[in-house]
Amino acid sequence: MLERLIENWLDSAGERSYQRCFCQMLIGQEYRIVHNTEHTPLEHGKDVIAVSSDGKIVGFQLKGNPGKSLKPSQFAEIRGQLEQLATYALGIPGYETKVPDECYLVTNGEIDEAVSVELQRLNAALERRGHPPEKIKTITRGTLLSWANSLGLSLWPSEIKDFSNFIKLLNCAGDEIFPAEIFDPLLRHTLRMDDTLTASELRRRITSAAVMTAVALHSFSRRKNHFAEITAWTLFATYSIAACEKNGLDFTKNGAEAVLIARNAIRGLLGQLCDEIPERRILSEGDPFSEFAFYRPRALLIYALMGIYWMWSYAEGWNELKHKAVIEGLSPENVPPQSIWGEGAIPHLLAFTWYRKRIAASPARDEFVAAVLRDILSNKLGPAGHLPSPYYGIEDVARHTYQQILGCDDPFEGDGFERTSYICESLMMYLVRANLKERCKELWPSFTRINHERVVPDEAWRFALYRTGEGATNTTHIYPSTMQWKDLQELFAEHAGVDIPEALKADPILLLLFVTIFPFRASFSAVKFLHERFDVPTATTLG
Amino acid sequence: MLPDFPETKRLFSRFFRTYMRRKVREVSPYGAVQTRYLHEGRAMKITRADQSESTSSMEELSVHLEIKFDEIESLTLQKSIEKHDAMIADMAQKQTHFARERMSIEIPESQTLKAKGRKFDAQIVIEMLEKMQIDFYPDGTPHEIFVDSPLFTPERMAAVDKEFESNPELKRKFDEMMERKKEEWRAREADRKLVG
Repeated sequence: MLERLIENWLDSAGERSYQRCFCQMLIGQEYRIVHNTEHTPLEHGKDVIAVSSDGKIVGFQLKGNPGKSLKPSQFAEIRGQLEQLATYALGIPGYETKVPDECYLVTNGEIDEAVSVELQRLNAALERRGHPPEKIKTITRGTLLSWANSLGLSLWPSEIKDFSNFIKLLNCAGDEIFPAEIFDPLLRHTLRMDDTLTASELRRRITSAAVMTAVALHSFSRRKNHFAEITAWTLFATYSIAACEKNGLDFTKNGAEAVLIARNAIRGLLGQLCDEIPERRILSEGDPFSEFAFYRPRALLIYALMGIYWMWSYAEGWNELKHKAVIEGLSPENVPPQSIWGEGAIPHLLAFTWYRKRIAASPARDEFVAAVLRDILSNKLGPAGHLPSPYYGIEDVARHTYQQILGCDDPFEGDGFERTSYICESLMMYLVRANLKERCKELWPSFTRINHERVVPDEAWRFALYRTGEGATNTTHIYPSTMQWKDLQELFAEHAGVDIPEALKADPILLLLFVTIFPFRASFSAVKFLHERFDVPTATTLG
Repeated sequence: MLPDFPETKRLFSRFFRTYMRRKVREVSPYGAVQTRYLHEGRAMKITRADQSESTSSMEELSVHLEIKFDEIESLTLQKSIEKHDAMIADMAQKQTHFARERMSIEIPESQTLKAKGRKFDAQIVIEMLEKMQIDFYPDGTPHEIFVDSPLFTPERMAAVDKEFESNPELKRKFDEMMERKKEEWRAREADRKLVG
């Protein structure tokens, strides 16, 4: 059954979506990826360059022929590129003058008989020019299926519940928010988060989880639901980090390669999201008559994601310079106040603010954060309509608000948000670090009337999961009514992020993305750490 | 299996769940207490303004709902609700017992009043309120106080009221105490400041 599902996925996967899985499978076979065009416009002729365990440099050119064969006319288009791949120096950092030892034409379909003949002729020509025989080989559907089965499927959890969850993901329409609560047990079970693993077993399981992620995204990839794909690959990356840390195994040796490929996929997807923006006049999606409930929250999320993409590209180099102008033209000076639909919107606001401070620093940005904190405190101390905790998303808010007309359950039933906050401490920390002493003094009385909630994982690796499980403490902090400014500055200066996995702290962009997608992970500790990495003084403008 | 109608039954099940949650709140002495949903983790800790800490763990409370085979044939919606009502009363009792037990453990000695066999009267009320931190609304009205004890029967409370009315000395003591509480609250509120 699962084999058929993988076949079905492969027979309809586009070039980019199977490229991610292909790279993960290469890593599973002890290859080291040194070049991958996932996050750039396709570079004709050298989509993936990898080094095998015996030191051979191997070039792969990928073609997407889902459910079809590569025809001679298509081969004619890439013949020159293949020849270049086989004969030209790679010209990539560290391998500038090297020529690949082996080359592969990869397709998720079949290869037409006539193309095989053409390929033989090309190889013969190359051999006459001094290249080894059969320099260009092929990897087709059958091989990819066999790899997916041996490297992926063989290690997937086999419980009925897991199978059912997997089918649920495949049955998704593909235009919805990625259901992380369904994917979470699949990842946990594949990575055996309840057991202890050896290094080799963990590496195999990470590859298996990567194949599962690619296949589970089938419906979402077909709909080009970039945010869903970003969500799933982010989870794959953070769970791989968690699995290494939990097992006490070196992340750089056991998980970093796979996470790097996922990271490249995420960056590529952010780029694709950015490409969509100029095509739209407004950030609307789907049925416009219901947009009153979703437009502003979606817009804020997009501003946050694009802000992260901008900061990522600024730090690591732009793959497509046109994206810089698109993002800078998209983001408003400030977000409208009605964008703050719950505490879950605050990580989005912070990511957006940190980005804006880099391109147009102004004291007004910090003042805006102060205004948001004032509004939240006032809401929490008010009589009704309290903003929900970050465990509730915009869909929960819409269902709660319009419960009567929608005829649905109230997602907030049994929960209360009055005088409690998961996020106000982080906003106060922001203002203290911005040295907005007078604003802090004004807000302090209300701030001390609130119970400040935190979820502290027992072990740091649990932070990287969708849910920590039982291994966490729900803590409530009540601040003293009187406090010295310098004591508060000292208290809020700490930014060690002790309850965050080391490998996640070493990749602040991934951490920022994780807390943006899962706002309940924007813990006080995480926001202090991220603020230290991303906030810039108001006098600084980059770009 | 025999033919079943799970989709519609799920709607009934949803109704019973909502009914139970609401009814438990109605009948429980702690029904007005704000509840919170813990999405992850099992332990709880509170760090107070004076840096004192309390930790506690979760406890699972469960009740039994029984339906006999021979009851099914004659079951009506009303009877089904009655069965749930019995379960609700049981759950509310368990929750109340749990809350009282936890409070008895957590409340410090300084906030405990030992009546030493005295009957519940106006003097006890004054002594009890004296031990409490009372908050006020901006217009000076004290926040509502919720009580949970078999001592606080409507008859007893009426008798205490009568005692205050008939004894000006006790009434004066009560008013002075409340005035002091208000001053303490004002001082606490005025103290909410970031200094330096």
